[in-house]
Amino acid sequence: MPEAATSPTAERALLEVRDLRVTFHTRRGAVEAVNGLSFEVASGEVLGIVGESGSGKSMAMYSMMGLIADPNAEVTGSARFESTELIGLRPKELNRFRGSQIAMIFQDPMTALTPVYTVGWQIVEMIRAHEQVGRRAAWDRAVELLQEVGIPDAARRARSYPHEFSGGMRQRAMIAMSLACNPRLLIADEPTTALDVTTQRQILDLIRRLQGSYGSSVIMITHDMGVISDIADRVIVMYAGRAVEVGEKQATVGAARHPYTWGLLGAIPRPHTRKTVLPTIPGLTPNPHAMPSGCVFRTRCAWAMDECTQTPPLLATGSDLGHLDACWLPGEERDELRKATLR
Amino acid sequence: MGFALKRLASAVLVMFAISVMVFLIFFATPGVDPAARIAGRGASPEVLAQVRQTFGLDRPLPARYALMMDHLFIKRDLTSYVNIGDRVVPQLSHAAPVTLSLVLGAAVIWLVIGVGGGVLAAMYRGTLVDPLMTLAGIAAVSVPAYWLGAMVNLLTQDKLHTGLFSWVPPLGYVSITHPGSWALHLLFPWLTLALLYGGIYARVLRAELISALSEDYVRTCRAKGLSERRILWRHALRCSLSSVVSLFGLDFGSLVGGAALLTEVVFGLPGIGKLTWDSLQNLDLPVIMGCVLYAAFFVVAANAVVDVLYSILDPRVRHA
Amino acid sequence: MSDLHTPFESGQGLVGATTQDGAERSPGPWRVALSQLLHNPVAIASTVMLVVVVGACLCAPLYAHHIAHTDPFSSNVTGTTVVNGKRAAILQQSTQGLGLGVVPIGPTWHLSGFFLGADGQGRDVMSRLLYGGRTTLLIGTASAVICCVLGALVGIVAGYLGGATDWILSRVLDVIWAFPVYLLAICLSVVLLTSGLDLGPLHVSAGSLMLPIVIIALIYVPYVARPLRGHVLSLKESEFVKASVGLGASELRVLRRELLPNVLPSVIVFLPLMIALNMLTESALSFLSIGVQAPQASWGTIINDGLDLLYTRPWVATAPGIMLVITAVAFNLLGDAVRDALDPKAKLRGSI
Repeated sequence: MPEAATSPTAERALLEVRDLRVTFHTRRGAVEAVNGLSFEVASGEVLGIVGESGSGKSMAMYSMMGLIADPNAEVTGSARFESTELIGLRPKELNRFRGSQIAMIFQDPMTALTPVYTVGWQIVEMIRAHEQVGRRAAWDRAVELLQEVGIPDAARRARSYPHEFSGGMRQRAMIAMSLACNPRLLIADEPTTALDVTTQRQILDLIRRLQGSYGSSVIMITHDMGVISDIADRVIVMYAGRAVEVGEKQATVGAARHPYTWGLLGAIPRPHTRKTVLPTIPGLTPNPHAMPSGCVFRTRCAWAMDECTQTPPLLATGSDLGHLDACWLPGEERDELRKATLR
Repeated sequence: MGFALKRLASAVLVMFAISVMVFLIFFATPGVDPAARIAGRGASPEVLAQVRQTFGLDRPLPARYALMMDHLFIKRDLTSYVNIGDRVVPQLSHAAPVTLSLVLGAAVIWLVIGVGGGVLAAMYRGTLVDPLMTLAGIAAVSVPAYWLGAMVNLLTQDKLHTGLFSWVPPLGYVSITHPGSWALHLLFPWLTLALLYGGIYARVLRAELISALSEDYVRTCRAKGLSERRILWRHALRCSLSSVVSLFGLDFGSLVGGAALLTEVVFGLPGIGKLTWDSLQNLDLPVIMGCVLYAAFFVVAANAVVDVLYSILDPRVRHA
Repeated sequence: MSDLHTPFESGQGLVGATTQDGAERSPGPWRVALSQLLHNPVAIASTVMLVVVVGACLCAPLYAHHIAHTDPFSSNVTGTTVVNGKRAAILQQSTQGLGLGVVPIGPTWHLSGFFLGADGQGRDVMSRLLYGGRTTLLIGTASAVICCVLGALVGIVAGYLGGATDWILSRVLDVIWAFPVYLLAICLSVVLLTSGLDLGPLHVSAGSLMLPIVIIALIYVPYVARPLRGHVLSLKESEFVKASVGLGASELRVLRRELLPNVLPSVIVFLPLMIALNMLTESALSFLSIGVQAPQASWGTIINDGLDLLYTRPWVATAPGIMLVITAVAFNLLGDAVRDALDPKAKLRGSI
């Protein structure tokens, strides 16, 4: 049983997830998209969840928010938001939290807004769904929000339709909408993946600024280590539905302990080095219908050993108790091996 | 303004093409002699010549066409080949209100059935209600209209006439000046027509709604904490409307133009459809031409209206 | 891409499905579609129903000669038959109303003869029903195939070649489609069925089944061609086609390897739906006496025959209608299942 990724502080966590599992029952057998994920998010912190496509990072968040529409999906485990258990709540009850306490923004701003209503109308709808506010007041607040996220000429833009915005503007509008009710937690599912690099930078800055002024916690889901090192306070590295490394950003990015994380870090192109070949992690993510037993990463790991046929527990293998990883390699050797890989 | 003119020009062109097509079909198909048909079988050569002369059939094709168009549109005194002396246009204007009554009443009913059925099927997808509605929709498309009408008549006029359906009046049409009787005579024709179209609409709407409900913006709505009912009615339905509306526009247009031919024949309603059918059986070309152009006009008009409605309903199209 | 819906269901091209040694090859889209169809109870039930109907109709001669011993095509006004051991006239004196005229015998519910009774000319309705089914199914299927092939050709050529060819073809399609569909069929039928078609070397007699087949196929060509043309147009803009062209593939190769395999599923989806639609159109034309002509029978003509007998011998008109509904429903259900199997997100107009 993987141990919980508890934060060292005694403060009551905003969100506590224990052994979250999402299983899809398909005709060809059961597929575990999320396989025993446990973590905590403290008030006001930014948690980054990084992993390849198919690692289950988005699925875990959707399952908490009740956004999985597939009737063949089975969600077990616990996700406590401020002492309320979210898993198993009926949609009607979840709606007390969705939007008002926990907000979510998605990857593709092009399709995320209803095309037939103006942006302002949709923000107003959000506000009036959760608060007893008049139409005029709600509209004014919507315009204010659009201004706050940096959309010029907000009053006129609020009366525009989503397709009249550019990608970056649309994502800003989505962020504005998600913050409309001052949520305690904002889940951002790859918000910058569909945008160009400059806009990416702007959106990340925006999220960080707003997080500071609103005091919300943020869960940032991404496949880009660069985004993580930019914005996250703590990091979870996911692979094939499991957490393989957890820790403070400095520790995880600066002194990673899991071979998969080394692979991810090694794959970041560095502008000042002269390398002829960009290192990649060999092989492909495993077929979900045929997961390797034991450590899921062992089929692609350069240091796989016989012990790896047993599933490694997620625990602290070094002196830092807050830095956890799931690997059988001896704790003392990690720094050396990492340096060897990332040379 | 330029756009509207272009539309108008292309509409006129289409009507012209259709009128030419009708003309050619009846007068220029190889192996077909219109004089022989008008005169009847076994007519002597003298009678045939007489017929040709009277109807100008010995003149070249373009001249005959021009002559007919002239009578129809300019002089407006085009007369029937069969009922000599009867003008075509008044026949059309007498038949039009009958068809309009039939189509309007049926349309109201089928819209209610269609939208209600489609929403219900989408709301209860995955439960037993959904496949039942789908089956009902498919059955509605698979039933021949005239056969359904005959079955309805069988029940209401004969088998159950003495008991359950004793209040059903005999087949035929009563003018709207007697509203009660008018509605009663049209009740079963309305229901028959509405059943067929309602089924189609329920299925189309169901498919559109289910597709809309799997779109990303619905996921955003759920993440916003909106109720499932609001998402269905305000977001999914609103985004599915355009296809239903355009379908309705086209169907309404073609029905008003006479597509309810079979229903009118089976229920004995003297509408445009019946007029068209009678004229086709008699090969009464002027009346045929009038009916076809009447129908084509509504189809073309409906197309244009639907295009306009589309741009109103879907803001993305407006700026295209 | 939304990953909320069974991302692992299709098993095709998933990241882990490597073709390296020993690893599993993911099945292609056709295999996946077939497997999905075979697991679909509705598809199986419809197919079984269709096999039963088609099989019964094909056995029409067998039934007529060996089981019922009746001739469904010749008038039998003076004939007699055995009912419950007693000999009875097929057309009997009417006992209703004023007692004028004759009424054919009603259903005997015996397979040995006149199962559903006789029609106004003393012919065995059941045998005629089976023979009529052959005709209706033949016309429906043949015209659907011709329509789909022709429509696909026109749609693909217009969409792919573009330019003047596309403009001309599109205008032709527009005009055919603007002509109210049923009217066009009726006009053509009325004209051609009275005297056949004499077009140079081509001579089609008035009673030939080719006439309804060709007429019905033609009027629905725009129905198939226009969505296909739109599909080809959007495919032309797709990245994999552009990539193929960029790699220097010849036009024919692009057509064959990139476009056709992607358009083919749409055509296949159209087929069962068009069969159902064409069968219903044919029966409507036959009902109006401008479809199948005597001495041949189709379900539409039998309904027409049955109208005069509607209140006295309702089965004559009812039975063919029921057969039409069952067969059309089965084809529609099958068409839906095929569409769901091949492309769950299909937005073809043919999907009513």
